[in-house]
This record gives sequence, structure tokens and C-alpha cells, in this order.
Amino acid sequence: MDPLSLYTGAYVSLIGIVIVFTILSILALTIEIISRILYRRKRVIEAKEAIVEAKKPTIESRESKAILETKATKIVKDPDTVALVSAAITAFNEYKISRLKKMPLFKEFPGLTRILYLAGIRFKGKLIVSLGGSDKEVEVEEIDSSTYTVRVGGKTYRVIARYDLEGKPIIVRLE
Amino acid sequence: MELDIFSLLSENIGLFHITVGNIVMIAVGLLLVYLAIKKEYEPLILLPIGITAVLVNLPLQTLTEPPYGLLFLVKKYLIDTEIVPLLIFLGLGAMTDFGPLIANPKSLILGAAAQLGVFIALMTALLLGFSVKEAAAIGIIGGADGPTTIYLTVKLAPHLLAANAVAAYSYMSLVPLIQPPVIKALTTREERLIRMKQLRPVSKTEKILFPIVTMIVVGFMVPSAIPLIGMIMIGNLFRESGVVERLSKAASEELMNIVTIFLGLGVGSTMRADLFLRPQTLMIIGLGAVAFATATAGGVLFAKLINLFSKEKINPMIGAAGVSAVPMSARVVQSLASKEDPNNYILMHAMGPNVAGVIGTAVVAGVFLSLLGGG
Repeated sequence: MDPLSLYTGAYVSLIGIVIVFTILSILALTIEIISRILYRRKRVIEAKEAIVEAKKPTIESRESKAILETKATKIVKDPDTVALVSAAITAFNEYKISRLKKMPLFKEFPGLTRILYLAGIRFKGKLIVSLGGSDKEVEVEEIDSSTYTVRVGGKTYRVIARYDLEGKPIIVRLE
Repeated sequence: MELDIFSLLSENIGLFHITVGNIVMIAVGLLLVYLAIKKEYEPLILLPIGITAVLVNLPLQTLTEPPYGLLFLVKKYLIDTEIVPLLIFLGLGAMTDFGPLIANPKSLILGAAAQLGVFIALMTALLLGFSVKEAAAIGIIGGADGPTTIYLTVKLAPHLLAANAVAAYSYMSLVPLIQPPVIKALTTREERLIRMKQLRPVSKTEKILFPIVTMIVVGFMVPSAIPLIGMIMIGNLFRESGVVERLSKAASEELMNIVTIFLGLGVGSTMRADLFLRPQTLMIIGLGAVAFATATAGGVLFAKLINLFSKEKINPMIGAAGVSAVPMSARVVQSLASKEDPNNYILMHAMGPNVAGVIGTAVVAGVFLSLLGGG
């Protein structure tokens, strides 16, 4: 038994274990991300197809009307609700980013905070939003980088937002 | 001209030249043939190896003699050049469905964990006095992947080819005997009863992207693993693309059958008494058992570790399938699960780590080649 061989063997084993776990973890993460992207695209296509289906005027039967009623969603235009939801999402995002930036990785690459959902990490928070002199408890849940579920006063809204140059959300659809 | 009949007989009749070693090796060869035919232990490979071992131990045979002996040529041009193990990987790729792995990428980590056996066997071999290269070639037996074992052994320790190949394929066939006691010793009945959620369906696009992505990711990180990973992924792309059915069929059937014959002949040709009957061989056979048992343990224990941190519990037995004896170890896991609960179906969950083990072993082989240098 040669001590140098044992040392080399231990070194090779250690490096080997680290490399095999690293590579297979990277591969697992890559597969997961690709799958999520593909499934997200599939869901978007399915949703678009559902909207197109819902808009078809030729469907007349009672059953088909029932389907249309469940698929179609009402777009909220009330300015107070839009303002409240917008403020809630802004506050939610600011709080999320301020917490994540305490970690060196996110401090270095702040853009990563927006793609965490790809790895299955989603954030949810309860906030008190003061708007127009009244305080309201709002619950915000992130679905992906631009979609949120907002619960306020017993109502649930689905929000699709885009961001301006300063990173503030511009609500493009509130249902 | 004087004709000495006795000297003629002694020179040309094999019986007069037989040694105890030849007799022992003929017995070993016949044992392999028996196991292949009667017990159906890896018959596709153990039968040609066994009968070739009998053949090359017949005295005065010239099949292994350079420069034109058939078995000499097969070994020199097909095994030593690694053509055969790599073509077997191409065929394996065309036969393998990576769907369960894509549906549950966590399986890859279990495939990595089962490689623990490789490193434990390596260290044990070093303690028994083998050199580092020999120990690495012996350790890879724990990956339970015959072609990878042959590929690495040819590169690092060609003189151990016969012993390593026989150990690898014999233990692969003995998986149903080796794994259950290890799995039972490391898991509780409650753990073995864990049911797992049905795997999601995997789209064709994902299946097509998988071999391409794997080839690129592994290739970037461990170039030495490219031959093995590259060939298996090319074969898999043939299969999943759906547009080259003829190539896929040729790789998984005709080509695979042909190269398996050459592999059996080539490995069997190295089982000559003077090369095989050494104390080292017995040690390698013993180390093979250590490698398989510890690889099984590594996978199971890592699955239990994942359960400590995961909300959705996995049945730790599927970790044992990380040794890449495909699909034998996955079947063993399913049979153990069925014994505890006849309605618990975890075969597809076990197939994930099972095929991940093939990738894991190829990566480990690549790491060994990078660090220790081959050929």
C-alpha cells in the first residue's frame, strides 16, 4: 500500500464526487428549466386557443353558452381597484427585491430575481396598502414574472403586468 | 528420413500440452455458459464470453496468436481501439427511453449518488495494493455498466480487462440477489410503502432536446466523457427524432447484436489461464461485490437524505436503481415495492435514476480519464 497512491485515490474520488454531482445537478436544472419554458408556452397557446374559442359567435346552444361563461373573464376597469392593485404589486416587488438583495448572488445579478419562478420558487405576501386615506389588507401571489394573483376584500384578481423603464408595473390586464 | 511418432504426437496433440490452469479456465468458461443458459444470467454477453474462454484454453489453439488469429484481430482492432464499447453505447442510446428521467429530473441526483460505490471500491482496491489506474478501472464496476467498464479498463488497465468484464457482467446479472438485502437493511417498512405521484407525460420536443442538451452540457464540463455520452445521445436522438427509424432500428438491433458478439469474443479471448488465473482476479471479483453493494447503499441513503428536506416524499428504494444495470435494478425495486404493497407501482420512478446512472457512470469514467490519463 503506497501512501501516495492512497492520497491520489482520495483526491480523484473527491474531485469525481464533486464533478458528477455538479454536472448532473446542472443537467437536472437545465431539463427542469426547458420543461417549464415548453409547458409555459403550451399553456399560453392553450389559453389563446380558449380565448379564440370563447369569441366564436357561431356557438348558440345552451351548453356552449355555459362553456363560454366559464372561460370568458371580466376585465376590471375601475380606476380605484387598478390603482390599489398596482400599488400592492409595486410594494410587493420592492419588498421582495430588498430582501433578496441581501444575498450576494442577487445583489450582483438583480435580474435573477425575476426568473426564480422558473426554478419553481414563487413568492407570496400580505401587505397593508394605504390609498386615498384608507388602509387595505392585500394578499399578492406571484405566478410568474408578469402574472400575479391579488386578493383584496374577499375578491380575487388575476393581474398581467408589464414594467416601465424604472421597473414599476403597468397593469395591462386585470380580471 | 526418420519419423519419430512420439515426438510428433507430443507436439501436435493438445492433450499433451494441457495445464492445470487450462483445466480451471475451461471449468470457469463452462460455468459461465451454464449460468447463461440455465439461469439466464446476462446470456447475451456471458454465453459468448464463457464459450470463448473454453476455446482459448484449448492447448495449441492459434485463434489468439498474432498476427492473423481471429480472436487476436477482434481484440486488437475492435476492443483495444474502443470501437465495440462505443458502438454498444450507440445501440444503448437507441434502446433507452429517457422519459422517466425528463419527467423527474431529480432522478439525476440519485444517479449521481449511486456512483458512491465506484469511489468506495476504488479506495478499497488501493488499500489492497492495486495501483491508482487499476483501482479506478476496478471501481467503475460499481457503476454497473458493462461497456463503460470495458472502455475505461482498456484505457487505464488493459491487463485487467477479462477480470473486470466478467465481474461487471456477472454482478449485473446478480443484481436481484445483491440489492434486496442492502435495500431492506437501509429502509423501514414505512419507507418502502411510500407511494409516489404518477409521472407527468413528456412531450416529443423534450425528448428530442434531452440528448442534444445532455451532450452539450456534459461535453463542456468533462470532454473525456464525450465519446461515451456522445454515442449514447446520438443513438437516443435517432430514436426520439422519429424520422430515422431505420437507423434507430439498425443501431438498437442489427448493430447492437453484431457488436455484442464481438465484445463477447474479444473479452473471452483474454481469459487465457496465463492472463486470468492470478490472485488479483479473485480480489477483483470480491471488489465488484463491494462496489455493487455500496453503490446500492449510496443511492438509497441519498434518497433518504432528500426526503429530510423535501415536502413530497420519494420512496427511498428508487435510489438503489441509480446503479445503472438497466432495467434490472428498476425491476428489483418494483418487485420489493410490490411485496410490501401489491398496488404500489414505482417502476417508472425507478427507471429515472436507472438511466441517470448510465450518464453518471459515463461522467465518472470521463473524470477518471481526465485525472489519470488513458492509454
